[in-house]
Amino acid sequence: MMKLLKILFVLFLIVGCSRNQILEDLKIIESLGYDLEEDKIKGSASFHVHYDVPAGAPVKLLTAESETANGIFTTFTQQVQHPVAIGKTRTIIMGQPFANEGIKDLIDTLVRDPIVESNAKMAISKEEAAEVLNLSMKFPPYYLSDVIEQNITYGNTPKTNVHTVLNQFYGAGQDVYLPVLTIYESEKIMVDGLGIFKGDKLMMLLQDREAFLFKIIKDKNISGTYEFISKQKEKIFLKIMYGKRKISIKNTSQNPQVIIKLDLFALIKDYPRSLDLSKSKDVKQLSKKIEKELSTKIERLLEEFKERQVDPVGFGDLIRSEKRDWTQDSFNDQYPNLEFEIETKVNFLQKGVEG
Amino acid sequence: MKQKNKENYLVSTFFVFFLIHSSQTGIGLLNFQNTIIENAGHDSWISVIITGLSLHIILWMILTMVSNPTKDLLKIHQISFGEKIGNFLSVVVIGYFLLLALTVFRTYIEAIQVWIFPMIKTWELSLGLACLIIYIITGGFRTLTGISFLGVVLPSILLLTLYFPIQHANFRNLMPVFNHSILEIAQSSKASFLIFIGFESLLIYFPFIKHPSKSAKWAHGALAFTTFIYLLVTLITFVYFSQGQLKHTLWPTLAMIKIVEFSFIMRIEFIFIFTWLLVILPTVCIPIWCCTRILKKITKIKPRKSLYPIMFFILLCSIFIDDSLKVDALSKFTSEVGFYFIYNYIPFLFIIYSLRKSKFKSSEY
Repeated sequence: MMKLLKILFVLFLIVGCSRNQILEDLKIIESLGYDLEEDKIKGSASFHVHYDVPAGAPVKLLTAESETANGIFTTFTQQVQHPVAIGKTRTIIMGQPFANEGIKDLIDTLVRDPIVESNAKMAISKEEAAEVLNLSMKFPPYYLSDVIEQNITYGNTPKTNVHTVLNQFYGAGQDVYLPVLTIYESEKIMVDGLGIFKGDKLMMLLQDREAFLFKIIKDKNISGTYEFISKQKEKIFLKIMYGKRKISIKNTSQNPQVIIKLDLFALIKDYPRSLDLSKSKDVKQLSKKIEKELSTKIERLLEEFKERQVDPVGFGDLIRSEKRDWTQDSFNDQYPNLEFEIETKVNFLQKGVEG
Repeated sequence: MKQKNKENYLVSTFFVFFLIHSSQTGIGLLNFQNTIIENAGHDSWISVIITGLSLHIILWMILTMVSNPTKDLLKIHQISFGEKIGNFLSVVVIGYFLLLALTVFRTYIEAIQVWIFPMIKTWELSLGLACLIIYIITGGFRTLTGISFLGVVLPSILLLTLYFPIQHANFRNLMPVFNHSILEIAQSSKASFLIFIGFESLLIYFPFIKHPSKSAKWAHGALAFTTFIYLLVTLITFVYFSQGQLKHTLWPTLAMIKIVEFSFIMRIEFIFIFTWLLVILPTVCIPIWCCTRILKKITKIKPRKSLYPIMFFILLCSIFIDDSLKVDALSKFTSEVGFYFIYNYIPFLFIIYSLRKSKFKSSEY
């Protein structure tokens, strides 16, 4: 009996080989695009190109129209000779009209289906998503997700991925934000600012400069580059290398006051030549200027969020964590009365080679 | 009359640690989070501590019953209720252990079906796993102990993966602490019960331990370690997910592992699920072994003979439980039954046993 069982068991192991998926025989989707055309969802997908495509031949996207976010895969399947595999999808691009209309259906499928990885990036595109994907096919594999990832690490984009989106979407007292992609000079793809959602609808777009300000008050990775022209027409460019941030809240019951303390460490690259940064007086003068600029701009940004009733920074969640009978409704009433106090401190790490 | 097994069937005392810990940690660890938050929300980590601590009392009762002199559940039943009723109750306990094994067995297959092979039929996986389980159990109790040991040591490397979700942690999710009523926390404690079930099999295998009198510290240590691991996983889940997202996530622990990504392996959760087989094997094998043991003591059927029908029964049941709703219902039911078995039946048995013991002693020893 035991011997028979052993043989049977080994047979079972062999059965495992019958359920294989050969890499060349799969349509491995890299990026998914969602657009809105009239009332229907227009989906598109870019995929790995294998050896079976003749060199130099133009590669077409998979495209489909459907009523539901998942329905596009039915049409994809109809178009290809191999099964469609979405397990390695790293980017999900949404056209701006699609994001304006609401992304709830898409998010619902993402949270239920474990197949898409948590590190996958989501982004909004100013042009049609299909157009962006089409362009990305000319670049190396996973170009889009690499561009976004690179900007998260070194640029002005705060960290986002499928996990953060789900976390913010379903979490209380916070709103979703996503990077925005755009086509630059009709052949390059670039990250350009940030899209802020209210609930599941895209509410406002931030410029790259504002995205930087947002990044230093929200993201764990406090870094980025910023340039501005002061009132005296001086051009200043600085690169934040790292920093510390403390957000506290006072008076949660009546008119809450949010205090944001920033301690930034920056490289200063361009500054008025009239200043001599080896003198501490001049250093102080310059850092004051930058501090004032940053504080006022951040406050203006936060006031704008308040006006539009969006809360990407998560002030609602902040108050929730300190107030016992917090509800979303009570916060919505409170939000317009929220006051901000921003204290910025800029320290220079080095003043350029010439000192 | 002291029950004594032959020396070569016994296991060293410190293995009690691995036996108890591995018979508790099982499939529940992959998805218990969204059951426990139903009532106490982000405070339910307190519930996990409460359940863990309260079980030390039950464990103390169990240890008091089975030691001095060393005996197992059958003997306790016989002392407390007399031979006939006692044996009948022991047969009922077989049903309980079968339920435990079935729940873990079926839920693990469900996890594989959801996460890795959506197309696979339940019977294919069940049959493969069943062969493995039969093979282990026919090896006897010492083999079982070996598997328990491996089932604790090898998967402990998986704990390291918990480091990655911490990088995405938002510790404000845990605030404000104690924002739920005591009643809600108690309800969550009850909901968290399923993950703690399993250590009561100590009632059956206790006579197989070499120095039973020294096993108490290992047993309590194992329970404390289990509570610690659960607490750790609960806390990390809560800081990683917002409460709203957690409600919508079906397998939170696996969803959490999804964030781990290395350049040489992208989807570590696949490895996680298959390594988890080592963790769930003891939770299935120990209860089934307990069933065969009880049967052997009552009816003198050899474990090797009774094992096949038992395994066949589990196979059959797992094939009939054919959708995720039924799997959910099964684990809810098991949690409920386990709750009453551990919190009601064992204290009840303890009281009856304490009353009857003195009478028994005078006549028997």
